[in-house]
Amino acid sequence: MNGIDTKLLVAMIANTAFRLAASADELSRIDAVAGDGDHGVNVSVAFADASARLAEARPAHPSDVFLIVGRSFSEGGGGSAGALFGAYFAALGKRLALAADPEVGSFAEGLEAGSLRVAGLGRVALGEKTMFDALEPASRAARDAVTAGGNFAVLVGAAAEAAARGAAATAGMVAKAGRARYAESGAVGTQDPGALSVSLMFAAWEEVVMKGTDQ
Amino acid sequence: MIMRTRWMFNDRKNIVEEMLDGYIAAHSNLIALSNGLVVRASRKPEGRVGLVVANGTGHEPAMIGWVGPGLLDVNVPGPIFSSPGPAQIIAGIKEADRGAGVLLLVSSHAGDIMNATLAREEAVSAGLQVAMAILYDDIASAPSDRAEDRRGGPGLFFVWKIVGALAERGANLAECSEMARRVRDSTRSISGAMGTVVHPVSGQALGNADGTHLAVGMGVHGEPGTVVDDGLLADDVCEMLIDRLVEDAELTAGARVALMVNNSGSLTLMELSILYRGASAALKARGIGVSRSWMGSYATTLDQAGFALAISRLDDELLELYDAPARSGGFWMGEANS
Repeated sequence: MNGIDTKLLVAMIANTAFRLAASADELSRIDAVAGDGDHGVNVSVAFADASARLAEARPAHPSDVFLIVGRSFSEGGGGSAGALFGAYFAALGKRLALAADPEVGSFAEGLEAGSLRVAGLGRVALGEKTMFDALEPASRAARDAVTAGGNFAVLVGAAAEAAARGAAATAGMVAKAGRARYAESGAVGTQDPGALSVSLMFAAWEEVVMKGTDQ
Repeated sequence: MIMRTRWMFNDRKNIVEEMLDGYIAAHSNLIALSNGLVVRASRKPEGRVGLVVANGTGHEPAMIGWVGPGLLDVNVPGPIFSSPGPAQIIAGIKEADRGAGVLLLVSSHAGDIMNATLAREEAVSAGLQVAMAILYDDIASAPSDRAEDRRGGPGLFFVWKIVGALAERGANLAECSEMARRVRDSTRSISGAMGTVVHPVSGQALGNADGTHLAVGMGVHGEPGTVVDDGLLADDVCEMLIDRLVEDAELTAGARVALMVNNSGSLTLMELSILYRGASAALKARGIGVSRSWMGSYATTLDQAGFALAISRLDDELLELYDAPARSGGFWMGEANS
């Protein structure tokens, strides 16, 4: 079974809202090292809004889930994170919309499309201490999981592990983009809050997917 | 150091909304609120270019105070220090469109650029005529050979003022865009800050000023600066900062500039005046004439105890636009009855 369950996706977004709200203070604290300390609040509010919209909209197709999440970001607070997450989910949603019944291959391609859109919009490359340092390894791991014949749970698990490693590695990087680049020593020693949000998001997805698999 | 933990607001979540309500009520003869956008009470005539700035709040009077005849048409205010999203910016573009296109003026910060880029992409694909000018002036944020990596600061008010005057006169979209870049390239700013700013929503202290030392080159959102010798007197600080501005702008004796001494939030007018005295003396010592002066709060960082010095090179054409009438909540110059 390589299809994607829309209801599962909705649960994944709800859990992302829950997990990011729980981590909002920590995310804001590390954002304040080099930025203005509002990252945790902004991102968790947008996911909570997305989750509420999804509960009401009851989407029928996997693409609708991510297009709605994208709109929560583009119609919401904004900021760098808003633009980047909004563009990421819009790209993922658009890719999934190309298939009547998208499978894991489409999902992996969607993650890659989203990741590339983030790199283009933010004009960033790997190693610059941004959310791209978590998104890119996650989409690469997702693609590898699909190539190896993995199902959706395997894909999400691999992406979560890669995103966590990517986010952890940002602690050792010198910021070259965004506000963090102005910090003394480029915020070395602190993870990038955007990358950490991405890794928390994939971890929240994995949590839901694993529960689904256990049942 | 004791940091402020109490503010005059009702609900952290509604700070921006309540500020907009109050500010607009206090200036209802000039501006109005339309679906969260700050617009002119009387719209610009048809056939003129609309000017839009979208930005995070916390910089008041920028930018809600710069909407009015001779200045901006629409301000799209976001959360504190955070750009509004593309959907809001598109609404602002539509509101400002008077049939001659809209110029989106963007203070160069990652979030502002990205959200404006997404908004412009979508507005253009919907058939609207939208140009975008990315503006910067802060010389502490990147060296002069990478000027395009610099961020926007208080000196951008020179751009709003001059392009505002030009658009009011009926210049077309290309002319307004060109002028925005020209004024940007003539403008430089640098900041100094002493006090910590606390984000009233997150409660986080921003930047690296500690109340005792002077941090030079902090950004308008409290991005950290470089802590310099704390023994410097105001005149020494002015000499040091004017030297950097003049060198960066490659100004030589005989040049004419407009000088701004901007209050980042809670500096006293005493200190601002002493800084103005020092900055104008430092310019004069270099043979540079101060043709126009602004001293006060133009772009703030909440209640930061800090300032910025900005200069903008003038010529006769710019001077004439500079002196054109303008009227907004935060600025008044001459008679502006359009």
